[in-house]
Amino acid sequence: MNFAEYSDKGKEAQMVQLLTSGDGQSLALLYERYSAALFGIIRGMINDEELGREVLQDAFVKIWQNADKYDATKGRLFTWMVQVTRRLAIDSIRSKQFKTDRKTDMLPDSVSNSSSLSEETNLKDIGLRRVVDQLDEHHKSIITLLYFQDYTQKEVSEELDIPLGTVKTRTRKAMERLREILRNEGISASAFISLNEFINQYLGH
Amino acid sequence: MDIKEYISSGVLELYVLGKLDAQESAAVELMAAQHPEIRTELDAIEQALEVYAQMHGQTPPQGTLENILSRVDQLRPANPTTASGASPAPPRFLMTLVIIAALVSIVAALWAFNGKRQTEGQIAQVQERLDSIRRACDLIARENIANRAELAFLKDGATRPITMRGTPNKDSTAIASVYVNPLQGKAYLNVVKLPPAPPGKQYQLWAIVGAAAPADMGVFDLPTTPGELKEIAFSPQFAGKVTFAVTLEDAGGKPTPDLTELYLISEAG
Repeated sequence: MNFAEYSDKGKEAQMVQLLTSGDGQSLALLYERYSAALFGIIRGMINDEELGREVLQDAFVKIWQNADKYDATKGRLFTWMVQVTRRLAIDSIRSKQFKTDRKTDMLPDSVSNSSSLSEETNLKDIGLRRVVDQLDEHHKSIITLLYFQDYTQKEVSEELDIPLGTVKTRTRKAMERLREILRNEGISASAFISLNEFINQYLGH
Repeated sequence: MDIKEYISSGVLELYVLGKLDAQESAAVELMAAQHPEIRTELDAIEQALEVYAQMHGQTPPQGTLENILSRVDQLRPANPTTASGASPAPPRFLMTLVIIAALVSIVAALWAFNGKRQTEGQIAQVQERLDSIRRACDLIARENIANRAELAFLKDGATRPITMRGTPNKDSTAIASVYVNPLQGKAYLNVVKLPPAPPGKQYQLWAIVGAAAPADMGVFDLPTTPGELKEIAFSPQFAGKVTFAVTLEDAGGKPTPDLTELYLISEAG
């Protein structure tokens, strides 16, 4: 089965609707759904928790203000939110002359990041481990560098010591492998969205 | 251009990851608009990265949502404020103006205070919701893990199902299975259909290996949810030929089965 067949168009649309509805409760639901994922991406770029938190706050405010600029025909809501967030993170790094030592420091797996280790994250980590353990090291590292640490293609080619042209093909291979693992594990985006469904059902929204 | 080749080139991944320049991105968007299969592929890549990001999610520090909500609140159409600083005017008029201004600012302050209280109330409500959602989420995650473990057990090549069927003199449509996995050293009972036990009675499971007397595997109640697996004691002897049977006994069970009350039995295997 094609991964895209797991597509959750209806639920994705529900999220977009939340974004455009403009009330505080919808914002809270969007926050509940996306804040951890966005914060994880920010922390891949910014080591400082407080600064990362400021960026996350700025990002949600900006996402809220620019809701009408999101174009659903161009891509998923989360992809757009990541773009907004990443730009703010880059601005913040530049303005504060703040540079993480990302060159030597690979993204810590949230498993070993025990600063806020709760039962909740423990449970999530089991799923993460299952997926990450199945990824080859060179596939995992290229996704980490490009996605979580915002390396450019050129920086990746230098860091991994591979030709620039190989970055593209290896990214494809890595993503194909990731999609295959997620498919085998039966994990899709809707697994996370069903929380919202739960909210609607039980809390009467 | 060969679409398949285009899709497998890696350019779509780099596009979603935001690694293309404006011109290259525009080219991808044009291709996506023209070819639905490219749009579909982009969507699949985006979904996979979204899931991956969710898995790598880190809970932001407490109070972050409150800050965002209050900032968004401030961005709403501003409260009307009173203008002060009137030009020279007759003292009485000035006095009236001051009183009006004072009244307006008191009303505005009361209004703002009330608004703040309302906002605080909303924040508390939202917090409460989040807490209950978190709890529900934990519960679902826990169930999910249990379900996965059960599924993995059932899918395991070493797991062998032993089906017990209803006896003709009791209820021939009754059915239940024991799943045995000698490698994992585990066994589960799955009651699919069995009439409810009368008051004071309980069903009891027996395992019969070779010519030995039936071994007591304990009493059980019918599952509250259909399809529920109940772990039962495992014996290494289950690796070989074993017959399982269920009898209806007095509550608490008996050391030997009452064979006139035999409800379920499997073929030896």
